[in-house]
Amino acid sequence: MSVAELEAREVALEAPTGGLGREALYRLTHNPGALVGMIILGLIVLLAIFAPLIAPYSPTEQNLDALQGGCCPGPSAEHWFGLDELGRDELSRIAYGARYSLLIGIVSVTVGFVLGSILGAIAGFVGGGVDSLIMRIVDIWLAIPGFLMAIGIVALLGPGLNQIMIAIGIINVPIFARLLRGSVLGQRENDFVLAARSVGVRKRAILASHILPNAMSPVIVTATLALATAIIDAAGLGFLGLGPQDPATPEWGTMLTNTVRFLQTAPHLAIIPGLAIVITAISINLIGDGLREALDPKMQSR
Amino acid sequence: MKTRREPLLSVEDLRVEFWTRRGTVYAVNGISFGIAPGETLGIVGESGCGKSVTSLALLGILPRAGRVTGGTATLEGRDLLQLSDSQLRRIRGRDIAMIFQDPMTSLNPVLTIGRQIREALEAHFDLGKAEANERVAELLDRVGIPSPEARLKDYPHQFSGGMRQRAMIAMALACEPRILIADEPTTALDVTIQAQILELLRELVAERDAALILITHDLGVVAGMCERVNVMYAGMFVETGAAQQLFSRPRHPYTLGLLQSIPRLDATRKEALRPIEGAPRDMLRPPSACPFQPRCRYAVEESSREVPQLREREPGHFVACFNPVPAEEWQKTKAAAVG
Repeated sequence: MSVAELEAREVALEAPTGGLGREALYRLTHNPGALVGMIILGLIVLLAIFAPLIAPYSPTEQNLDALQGGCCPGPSAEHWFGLDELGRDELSRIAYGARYSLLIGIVSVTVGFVLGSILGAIAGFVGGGVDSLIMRIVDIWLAIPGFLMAIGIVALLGPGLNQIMIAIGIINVPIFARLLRGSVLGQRENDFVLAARSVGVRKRAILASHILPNAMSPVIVTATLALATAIIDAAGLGFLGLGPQDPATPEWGTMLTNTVRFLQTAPHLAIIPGLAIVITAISINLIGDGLREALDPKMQSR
Repeated sequence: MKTRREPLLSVEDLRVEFWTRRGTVYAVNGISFGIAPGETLGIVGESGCGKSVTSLALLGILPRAGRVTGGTATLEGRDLLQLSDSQLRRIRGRDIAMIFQDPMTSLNPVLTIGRQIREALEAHFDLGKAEANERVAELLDRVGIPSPEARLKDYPHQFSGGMRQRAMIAMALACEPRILIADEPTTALDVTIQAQILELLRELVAERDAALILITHDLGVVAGMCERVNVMYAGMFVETGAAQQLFSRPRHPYTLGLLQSIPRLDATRKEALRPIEGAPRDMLRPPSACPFQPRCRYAVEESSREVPQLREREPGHFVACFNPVPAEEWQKTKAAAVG
């Protein structure tokens, strides 16, 4: 058998699989940690979507009569997670609160991801003075502690849900800009970029089809992890009273604030929203870690 | 021996410098060559002597730090070194294309083979996707990839090294360039695959009457493939001649040194290899003497004062040396080795 035939056979044995995306998905779904994360996050998403069906009561309906025995009744058969200081059903509030937390996380990370990626891609691909200028601005941006900056921005814009999303989005911009720039710079020197240039492929096509797709995977992983951080930051801002100003809004961070006074008599009011935040963040982190492994370019050759 | 034809590409006094933190690196210091259709020209030299930089400079794809500081490269009356990037882009792939050394890293892992070759076509022609795919399949078939229609949907990691190099060749050939630069096309491959790839290149050049510039450090490859050979050292050509002439009667001490440092199958076991002593020249200074002088057994007093120019010692055989090796020297060492 000639070498060419052997080679052809060997290649045929390497089962032709689907695209790289499918391979990454396969690795992701076969990673136990990521799988647990996806199941938990899936449940939280379902909770958010079907909150009106799941919640046994309205999240804003007050039942002051139930508080006559003192604040605040703990878990019972009617109210699984107990009642809060105004007699509202805690379970219903957690269910509706999932909507706010996920929304804040997704919107703010999207803002940071889009703006940061644009800045990073320009800096990395154009280079020279433009790169230096963008990166110095990003350095200054990063020098300010993120959470402090978010507080400052919300203070400037006034408290509220949209303001929180903008603030958290803005503190994420430099992280993505820096990451994508580094990634683009690394990819730009690749042999395959040189090979594409050597046959006359246009610069724009090189950026779009050779550099960005390869540069994106660390950014996607970071975006996932940033989602968890964003939810925690949002809760933190809510806790500081910079969240939605309507106290009836069942935002998890805001819910924590209101319970500070009852920590000794009704610790469940702090524990339950706190746990909700922690579980969400952990499940997202598990997925992020799984993604990091699944998208690792070194894994692609098997 | 073929009669020499009008050159397709002629390079005169090409100079390339790199601006680095440690200072200016004089990578290519005035080299000249011409290549005609159907001809295979070899450029031989050790790592870092400026072989690859020469080809990148011709295509205008030097790294950022690199600058062409002098010379001309004329292709059909146009000086490639004076063209703007967008003019050059139209020439890359269409008139001159390049095959890179390492097929493992020269293909994008996230795109299919078909897509990458199609891109080369789309950069120059207005083709529909189906039409382009058909053309890609033809190309893959031509470079010897079995069941090309199915394979163009594969990703690079599903190809073996030899197959990837074939795919790279298909990409370089996509727009039927008249000049092909192969930069160490077989260095990263197994010996058996090397022979196949070289045979493929030879066929393709003959079939299209293209010109091939073969850059390598492998003297065996050059001897088997090229009509004319340039030996490069420290960014200069030190010896130029017909392959046969150059390998049977090397006149430059460096060429002789290269030949003597190759293990020979017919040598007696006691015969030790004779390496070239010393390290390659530090390229941070512009050449002011014979670049090979510090390592040279034949150096004369003049060698450390002046840069030797290429001079025709025998018809068609140019040597840049003040004290060329006697023409019979290599035959003598060979005879002694077989003893």
